Amino acid sequence: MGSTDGAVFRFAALSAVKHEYVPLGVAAHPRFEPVVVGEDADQGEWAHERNAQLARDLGVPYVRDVGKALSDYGADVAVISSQAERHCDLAVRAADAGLHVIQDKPMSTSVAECDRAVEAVERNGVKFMMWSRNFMPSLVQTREAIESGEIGLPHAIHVDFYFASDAGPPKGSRKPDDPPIDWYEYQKQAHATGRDGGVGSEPMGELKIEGIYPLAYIRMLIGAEVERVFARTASHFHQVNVDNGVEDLASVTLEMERGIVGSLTIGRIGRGGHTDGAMIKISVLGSKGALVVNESRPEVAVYHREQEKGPYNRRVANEGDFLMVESFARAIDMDGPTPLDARAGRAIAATVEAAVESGRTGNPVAVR
Amino acid sequence: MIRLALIGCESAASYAAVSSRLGRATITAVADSDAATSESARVALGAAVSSNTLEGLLAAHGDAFEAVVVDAPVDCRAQLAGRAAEAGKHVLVETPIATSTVKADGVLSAAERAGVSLMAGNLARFAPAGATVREALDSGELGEPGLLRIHRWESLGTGSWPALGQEQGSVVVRNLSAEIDLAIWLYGGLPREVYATGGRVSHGGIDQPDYVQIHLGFEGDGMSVIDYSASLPPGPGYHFLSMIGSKGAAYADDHHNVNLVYGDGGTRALGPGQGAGHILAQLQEFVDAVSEGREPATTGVAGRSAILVAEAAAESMCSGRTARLAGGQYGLD
Repeated sequence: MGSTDGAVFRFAALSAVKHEYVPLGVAAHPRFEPVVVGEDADQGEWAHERNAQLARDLGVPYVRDVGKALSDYGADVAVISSQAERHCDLAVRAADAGLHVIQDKPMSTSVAECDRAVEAVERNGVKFMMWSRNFMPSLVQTREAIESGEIGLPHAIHVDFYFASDAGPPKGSRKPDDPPIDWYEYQKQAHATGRDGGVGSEPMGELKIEGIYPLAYIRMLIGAEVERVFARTASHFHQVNVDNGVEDLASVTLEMERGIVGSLTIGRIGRGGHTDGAMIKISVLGSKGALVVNESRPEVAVYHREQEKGPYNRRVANEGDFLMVESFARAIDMDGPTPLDARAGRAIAATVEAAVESGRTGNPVAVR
Repeated sequence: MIRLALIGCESAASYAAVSSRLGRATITAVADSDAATSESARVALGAAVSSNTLEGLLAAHGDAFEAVVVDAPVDCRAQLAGRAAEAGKHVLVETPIATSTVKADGVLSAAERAGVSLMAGNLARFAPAGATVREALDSGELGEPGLLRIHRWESLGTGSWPALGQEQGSVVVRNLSAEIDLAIWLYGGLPREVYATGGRVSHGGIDQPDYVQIHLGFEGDGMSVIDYSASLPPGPGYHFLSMIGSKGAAYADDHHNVNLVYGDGGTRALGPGQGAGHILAQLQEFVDAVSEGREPATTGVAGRSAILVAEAAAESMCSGRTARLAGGQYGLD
């Protein structure tokens, strides 16, 4: 029996101030029913407005009390998309209330917070899943190709992960008397207009904001822990990154278990960096061959007279969110593992933290 | 008219394909240690004379050419280039020009003493990918260079491998110097930091790493990740080059350029060709530099710099530490 035929899980969307696609993606699965949107009362009015809007969109109540959202609406699952630094605290509160957790990226801005979440999830015996892109069609295909043995034993993996979008004014545009751009205020505004960003009071570079996606690819495809990293980081494009001392471009060498070598290049490279809005590639070298994969495929190119700019290629046939949420449901049904559980999320956060440190010091750094 | 001698004729067919388009020069002599190769190259190139050795060519036909193109195996290049320079011949020698900076210094000294032109050829600079990225940088389209990524993956037997028991660093010098030179050229200076890792991953026959990844940090923001593999199955290799700049990006990717063939054996990807224009362009630059009495675009010093960085990468790979530039030399942290 497919899990789409199983019990329906009721979920509470907690602090959906960042990526509403996370709770909406969960709600789109037939086995997940939204029952409430909850937020802590002490959050700013902007946060309450966003949560209230999501509640209206989902047709459920909005409560300014996370405790009530967790206890009074019969929720089985908490879906968290708050400011990054609040992710794990909300996850701990949900787990302590006996709810399973689906959490937006990044797991946290701090590995210590990840440790707290891992402990709470395991102590309460609940399921935890980080939101990921691991179920996109090309990733599924890549995983199947590796598992088939066609390229032999993988020994190297590389991911290019570039979003070709702007993040406010370009580097060097601030006039001498202008104040530095406030990270939090900028991110709140940027996200409100639909652009991606690292919503949270703590400035985050691209490694922290997006690094979990490519590192989750590597983890899924290779199944080896990262042991040591060497990284270079730069604020190369955007004034908001320069003003807040966080990178928008990075390259990371990954030294993994079993002698496997990897690399990650990542950046928010500006709108001029690619006509498709993103350039994401995965390449894997194995003992018998290699794979070179464009993450965006399948896609359909659309061009028309009124088009002033890209992206021109539209991703199609992407059932990634459904498959990911389906997998989470199965994990609950069967008491099995989730695709990207709390320990995996913690390991990725530790890799990111080591890369940031390596970028700062110019030395290789062990992942702890 | 500059008269050229081709020393090392394995790739004579490539030169033959462009020799008729070469201006201000003609290939008049060839030498290869294999007599049959030497003779077939002579015929293909329409050269007047041939020999089994450079010494033989110099002794018997030294007046037949003013310049040499050394396209011999890596192990022989420094000796051949140095000897030709000593004999007063201008020299084009492909990167890596030697297997070590010590040997490269010998070539540079010989050329300086003889007052001849020395060009460290690097076809990666003249090939469509490298040349186009450089043009896009020079024109300002890409803004400030930020991140250069290169994959060069080949099949077993394609790379240059030292004999069993030779030092590990040799692998990096032999197989990654061209890409390192390209990175230095695109960024306009030596990297401040060099970190490398790698391993022997896929096959026997050599006791050296056959997978190497180099991570370079340049002055300011610039960074580069270059990896080389000799683990592909027999067939064409894979090449990828991207430059992410502050205003735009350039991508030269074999994956983007493949065509598909549906046949009895299933679906097959046809890799891109890049023509022979880059071979002609490099030869022409050498000829023009000699004719005009100027420095070639790719100097012997540049060739030595690539080896210097490759040696630093090898030390980093063996030690697991970062090599940093100070006073023109690299030292481990």
